[in-house]
Amino acid sequence: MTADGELDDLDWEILREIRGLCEALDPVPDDLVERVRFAIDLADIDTEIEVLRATEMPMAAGARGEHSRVITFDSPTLTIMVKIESNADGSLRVDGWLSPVGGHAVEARTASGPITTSSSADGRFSLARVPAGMVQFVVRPSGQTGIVSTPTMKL
Amino acid sequence: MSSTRPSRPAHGGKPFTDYEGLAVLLEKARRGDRRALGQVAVRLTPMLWQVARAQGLDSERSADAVQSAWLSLLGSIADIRTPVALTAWLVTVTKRTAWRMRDDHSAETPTAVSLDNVRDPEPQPEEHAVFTDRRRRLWAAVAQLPRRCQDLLRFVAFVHRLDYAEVSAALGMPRGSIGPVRGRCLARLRTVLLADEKGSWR
Repeated sequence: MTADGELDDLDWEILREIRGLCEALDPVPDDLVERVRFAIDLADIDTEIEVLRATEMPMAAGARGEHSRVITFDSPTLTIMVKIESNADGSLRVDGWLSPVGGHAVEARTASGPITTSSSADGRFSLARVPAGMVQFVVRPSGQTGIVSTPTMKL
Repeated sequence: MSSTRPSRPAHGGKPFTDYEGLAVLLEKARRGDRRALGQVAVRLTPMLWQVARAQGLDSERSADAVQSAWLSLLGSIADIRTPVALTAWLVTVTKRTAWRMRDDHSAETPTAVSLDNVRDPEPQPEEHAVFTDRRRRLWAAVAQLPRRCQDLLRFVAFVHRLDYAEVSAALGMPRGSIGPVRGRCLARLRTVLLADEKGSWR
């Protein structure tokens, strides 16, 4: 560094090399930017969005030869558990449970468009055929203006 | 830095974050242009990835933390007017989300980037070998720094020319201290590199 605190050529080279090292050692996952862009392409503009966190991480697809996995998501106001199974045609069957229970609008956003349903009074919902690929679950709790969303997953 | 040096040095074909271009995209995004917001995400996601990973999350949770920050932004973007404020906001939310995720899984061991992950490439020309040697020595030198310095340099390498007053708050450092701290961290790193007698950094 020069006396006045500005960075010199060697400082810049070091910072560039650190960036290069980070990119080489710990690269951003290939599909992360794609998943982010998909997630933020929500139709709802200027809507308060509560983001759900996966509290039980999904097992890798097909782990231990199983064709079904369960993912639980949590936010301060809502919990969703989804069971995902493969159909014979390669699409996915999704069975979900919402808490607090009640009839809420549920949407599975997919690359080929949204699939919508509602949960029953006891909080259950199911989607018989969801295309495999990027999926984001969005819930519009009844009686509220905000929405609740999961991150986009590759299922 | 001499006045003849370009203000945004290219490295590996990718420019450092371009705040002027980002300001235009942010303005469009604030008016509801989702394509422009997508472009903003392309620019800032690699930096947020480093922020999430530096909190000790595994790859899958880091990706979720970064996505959560972008989703949360949709409800707040109307109040965010400058690229620096946007960067600080996203860094803050990513870190906060990452901490909550870490608390959810506090029993697990944090995953750190390690030199063990560096795979030796195929037999390489002499020039490449020197390049690899420089990187290995650099990483070894970085590893000797205090954790705070490591995290800071890793972050600064991805964004610079920031308004340090705002971003230091996002990084949890006293206002105004990131500049001097960065200077001290870089100075320590240079001392280690230049003291390495066999190293190609001399």
